[in-house]
Amino acid sequence: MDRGKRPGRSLAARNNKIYLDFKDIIREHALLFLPAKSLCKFRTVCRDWRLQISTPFFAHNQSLSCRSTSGIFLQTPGGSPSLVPIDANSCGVPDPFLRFLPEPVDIKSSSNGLLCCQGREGDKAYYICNPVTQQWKKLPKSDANHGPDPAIVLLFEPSLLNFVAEYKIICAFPSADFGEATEFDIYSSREDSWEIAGEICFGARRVMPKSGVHVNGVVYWMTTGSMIAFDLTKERSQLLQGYDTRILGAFGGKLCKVNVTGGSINLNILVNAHTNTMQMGSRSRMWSEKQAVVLDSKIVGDLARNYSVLHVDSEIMVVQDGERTYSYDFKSRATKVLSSRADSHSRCLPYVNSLVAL
Amino acid sequence: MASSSSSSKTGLKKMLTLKSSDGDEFELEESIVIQCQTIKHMVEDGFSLIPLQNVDTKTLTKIIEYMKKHAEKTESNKEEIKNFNKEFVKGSFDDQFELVSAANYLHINGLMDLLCQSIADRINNKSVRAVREIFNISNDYTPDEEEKVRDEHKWAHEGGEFDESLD
Repeated sequence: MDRGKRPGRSLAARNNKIYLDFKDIIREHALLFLPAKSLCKFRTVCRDWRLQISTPFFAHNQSLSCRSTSGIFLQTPGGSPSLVPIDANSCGVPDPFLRFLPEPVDIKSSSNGLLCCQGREGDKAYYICNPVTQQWKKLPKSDANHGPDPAIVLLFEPSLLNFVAEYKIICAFPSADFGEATEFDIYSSREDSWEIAGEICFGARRVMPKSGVHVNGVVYWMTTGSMIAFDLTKERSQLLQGYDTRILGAFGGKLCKVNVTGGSINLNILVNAHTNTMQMGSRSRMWSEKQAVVLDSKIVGDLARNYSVLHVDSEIMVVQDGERTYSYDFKSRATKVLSSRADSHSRCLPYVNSLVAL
Repeated sequence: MASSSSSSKTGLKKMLTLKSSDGDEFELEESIVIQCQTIKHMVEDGFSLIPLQNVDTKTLTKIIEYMKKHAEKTESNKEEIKNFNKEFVKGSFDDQFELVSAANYLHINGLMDLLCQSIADRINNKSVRAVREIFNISNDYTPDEEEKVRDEHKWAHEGGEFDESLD
């Protein structure tokens, strides 16, 4: 009855998805590819955009679509964290010092927009937070003793069907019962509890706390003289040789290591984790060289270099040379100065500017 | 069915005809066209001449170019497809809007994601004012309201030089 009174446009056409205006298409399909900072900026475009960006469903879809590393968190021991965006216009958080958490923390691990931090005082509690929305959660205490600098890896894979972020935390810790052995403690957000895996990795000496990397369901750490691989589905561990390795990363779905000699940086991919069990004289190799990275000399200069690689993934590599930190983009092959006053003891964690809800 | 299969040279490939809003007809193999969900459903319903009233010839030509290239996709030409995609999304915002409307109507998911990612990359650094201009969106906030919404996320408006250009 009322329909006849409405002037002008036909309602039927407006509600029909086939005839969607491109403005609506952009709002519904393109915005979710933007990083969180741009989205918070674009809330002021108009009411419709603000409404769209504010819905939990949008936040969920954005966390699925916007997946590239857009900045790095740097933190010196005892200092407050800082966020170095790769592009300051589009990546950012309201409070990079994480003062919204109840106590000063050390960032331990980062995964697709979430950070795992550890408090410095008292019982050294773990916190999970999203620094954009400033939502946070304190994790229950584990029965295991993770030691003074726990080797933590946070694992969060946004999934279409899981509306609530589901994540796991894996900690490799020195066994209390056996010498020179490593055990694994696993926190799962679904159960909201820690559980020590049945697996014990013998012969693994000290696990390097900052070295953990997750690749396709397997977590790798460097130890003094070797590497540990822990398969999450099988809950089995394996010792791998890797004495010349400085840093591990995930590159194109495979584990990679980076070797630096002088001014050249070489990226190697793990192709066979079982070379130690191959027959004698087998030609199969554990690593295969993927590519050599040459930083732009116009930006890094021609002087003698002392590179150390802080982070590597499929998209970017973060390299430090003295006080300067560079990013190298694998797609555009561009080198960029990220920071010119970095402490060499900084911890470096990749960060995705995501709206994911906890 | 018999007539359409005899018209193709191999005698095996089923051909379909797409008709743009300008009336131009394009004959294509079915295997190429079924990347597009809307047409796939029409083919399943037995159509072989498909009128596309919302897609003009210029846009349809571009879309066919995309579908042909992506139908060739194999493990070995990933790099080539990547470069093709890179070239494909070059062009003015207006061209992209035409394409995105058509891709949305035709339900070509891969193309939709490619275009949306590209549009997102292009507006990422833009100022709020530039975005309104580009998409022809009118500001429906009162100045007070706009100020308030801005203050809710002040940090997002700081720390960078936003691009005011419209291309």
